[in-house]
Amino acid sequence: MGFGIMARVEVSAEEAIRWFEEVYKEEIALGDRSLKRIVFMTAEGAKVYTPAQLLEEMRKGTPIGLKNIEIIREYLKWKREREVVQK
Amino acid sequence: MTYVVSLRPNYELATMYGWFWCGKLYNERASLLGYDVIDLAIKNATQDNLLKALDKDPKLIAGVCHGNTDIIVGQDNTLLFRVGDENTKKIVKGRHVWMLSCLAGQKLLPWMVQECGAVTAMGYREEFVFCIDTYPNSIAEPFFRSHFAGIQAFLQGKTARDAFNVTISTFKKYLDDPKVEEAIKPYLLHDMKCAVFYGDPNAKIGGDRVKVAEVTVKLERVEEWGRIVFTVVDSLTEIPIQGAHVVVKHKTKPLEYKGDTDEEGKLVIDGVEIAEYFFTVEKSGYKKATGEIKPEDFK
Repeated sequence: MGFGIMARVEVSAEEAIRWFEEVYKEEIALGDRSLKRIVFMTAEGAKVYTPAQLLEEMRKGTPIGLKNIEIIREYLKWKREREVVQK
Repeated sequence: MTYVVSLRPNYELATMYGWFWCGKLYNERASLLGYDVIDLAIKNATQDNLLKALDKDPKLIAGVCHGNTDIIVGQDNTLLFRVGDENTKKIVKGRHVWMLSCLAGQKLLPWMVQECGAVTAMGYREEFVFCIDTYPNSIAEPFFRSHFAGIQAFLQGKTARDAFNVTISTFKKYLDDPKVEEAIKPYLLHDMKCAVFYGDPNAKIGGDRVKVAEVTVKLERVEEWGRIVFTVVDSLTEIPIQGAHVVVKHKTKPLEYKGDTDEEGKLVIDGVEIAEYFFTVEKSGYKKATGEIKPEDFK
């Protein structure tokens, strides 16, 4: 049995965008030719984006772009908090 | 018989994926487990058809449909459920409603339980997000498998709370899996965090189901002869079924092999002619299972 200190990790919007650029590098380069799509099931129906389009939304700070930044920030925080606790 | 309803409209890209995965992971599993599935697919995914299905008293209503905080819609965005709607109250009363529908977890699903008498409700309180590449497989799969893992567990007899936890643990399993693409993991985490459950945590899907035997057939070639190995287990408990009676009939000749499974649920038939056969597996209390064997399957 061990004791852990809950780690608080902050992730900036810029960092989230950089992570997305890196992880989706190849698909972003393909633009509309990328087969990969991210589908948001929203109240207005499905909104479907290629990684390049979603990156643009993130840079412009549109509602869906901000939503995506938030999702990535949460993921990076979750991942880092786990890494800290496991060390 | 215990009936369950499957709601799977298909009219744009998201519902096209939902239609496929719901059919594969819910309809097929429910049928295998001995439930009768009322499949309200494509143009049949309407409130009128849900009302008609009430005659069969379905225990569970599940599916993939677009939603909002106070509405879930079927084919071509027609109304299925809405806060305050009398038909919705009638449809959900005394039943379980487990929907892959975004935002409905905020208002509609708790309303179903608190005001309409639904036994349990499961869904998502924010937008459900998933990733795709080529239809229908690959990177979309972990999203749908995570969602439906809970429904499969519910069908298999787990309590509602335990079944919901299976959905959460399946999301976690994919998040921890190094083989799953990093690029899709933020969305898996997001969906996991916004999954919600309401109602009686100890509820189970009730009713009498016909038990179903799951039959696995392994075919081997031993020189010029064939060996057929049957394994028969209970599809719900996966416990081997002893004494299941197996009959294998040659398709064109008056040739027949018979036998009963042993305590491990196994029956080995050796020295059979490599040919095409029909087989039946029967056990009292279980639905009769049938199948075919083809010569090219002996390897």
